[in-house]
Amino acid sequence: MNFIPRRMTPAALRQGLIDLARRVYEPGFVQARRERFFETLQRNGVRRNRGLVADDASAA
Amino acid sequence: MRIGLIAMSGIRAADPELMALGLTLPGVVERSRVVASMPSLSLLTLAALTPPEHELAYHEIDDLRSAGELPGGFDVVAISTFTAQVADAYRVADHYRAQGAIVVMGGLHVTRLPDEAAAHATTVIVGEGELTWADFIRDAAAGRAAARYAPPAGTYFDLASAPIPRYDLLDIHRYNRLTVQTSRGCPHRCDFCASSILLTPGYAVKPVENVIAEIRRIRELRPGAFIEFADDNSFATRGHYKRLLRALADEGVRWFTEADVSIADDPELLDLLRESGCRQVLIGLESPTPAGTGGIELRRNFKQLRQPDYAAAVRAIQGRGITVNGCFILGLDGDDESVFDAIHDFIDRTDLFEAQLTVLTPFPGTPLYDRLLAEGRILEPAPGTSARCST
Repeated sequence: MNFIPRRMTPAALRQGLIDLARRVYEPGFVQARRERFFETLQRNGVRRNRGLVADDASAA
Repeated sequence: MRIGLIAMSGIRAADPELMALGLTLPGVVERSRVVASMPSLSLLTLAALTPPEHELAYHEIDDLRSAGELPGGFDVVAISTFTAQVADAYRVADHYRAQGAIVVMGGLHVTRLPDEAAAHATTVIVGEGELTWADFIRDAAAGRAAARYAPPAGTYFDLASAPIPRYDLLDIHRYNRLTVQTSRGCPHRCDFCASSILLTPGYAVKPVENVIAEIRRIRELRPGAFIEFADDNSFATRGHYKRLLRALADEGVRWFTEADVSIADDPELLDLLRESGCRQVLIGLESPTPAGTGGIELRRNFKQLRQPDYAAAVRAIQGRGITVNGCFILGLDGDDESVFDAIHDFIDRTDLFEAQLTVLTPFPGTPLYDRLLAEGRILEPAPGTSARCST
């Protein structure tokens, strides 16, 4: 971090980043979002292609 | 001449304590690997513009600390890097200069701070490298490479003239994704943006047939390759991109790109994205709040104007089976500590497939950097910049 934030302290920004990253990338939260995404597609009749996940390089 | 092309474009953790505290989480590591595992399109493009009498070798340095012995025996070494790895790039430049090689550096960081780079490189290329590379190679071969090459003011590269990058120089099976540039520039002017708008003020597209030819070349070398468009904002010219998407649909590729939220306004475009094999679009949402998005985009306040549409846009795009990688910037002037919960809530209620969290970073050469410098809010100004002297 190379600047002084306007509406929070540098320490609050740093801690906020760490706490938010832990929450956003928590495996259960990631998995739940992805499951809901696929459920929505299924409900709307949108086909789930192999390789839909961008980095599934092995998918055909 | 024997020319070494050295790519250094990995992500660096500037704060080891942050890494130790938790930023080794799978989502962060995953995206870091993707970015770090892509080859340098700029060097491969310059390779294609190099006369055939010269010998070329492409080498990547992911992490200088574990790079081992660097390849040697080069007459010319061309180094491409970003700000995140520029300190290591300068060490590599020093290493090759000590060996007597001509070291040439270019790219976004070097373009904005050419004097800094000149302390390490024999030659600095400012601006779009395609415009001056042939001059540099000619001069270097004649033993009279200049200290600096820059195109005449107001001259920009025509993407219709872009050669097919020399993908054949790569050990191509080690790459998860391969890159193709379909456009350069962006119609917006976000104050923090340190991408290709620093090289070209306009928005230029590569002809459809050129893009298809590049993709076919990649797939000759690596069948089934996943393609990442190395664009800052695809689809700004809708008619052109709809033609490209129709052509792509016949190619059977899987691909990724970066765009802005306005693509959700165009159902035909979304359908074409789906049919053409698009798997993911990365969108800079920046903040889920009206205050946070205010004043970021300097031309017409685009981000704040479109912020109320963010959730519907994510749903419209993802509803086509195309995942969204939503990017958020922490520390924006309009946001206070409530933004952390607001981001989490947005991601949760939109089922955002992937999220990217970034701390606001004032890169030299950006309006953000100049503004924060003038306000005395830059902690460590880049060499050659001060509160009285903007880059």
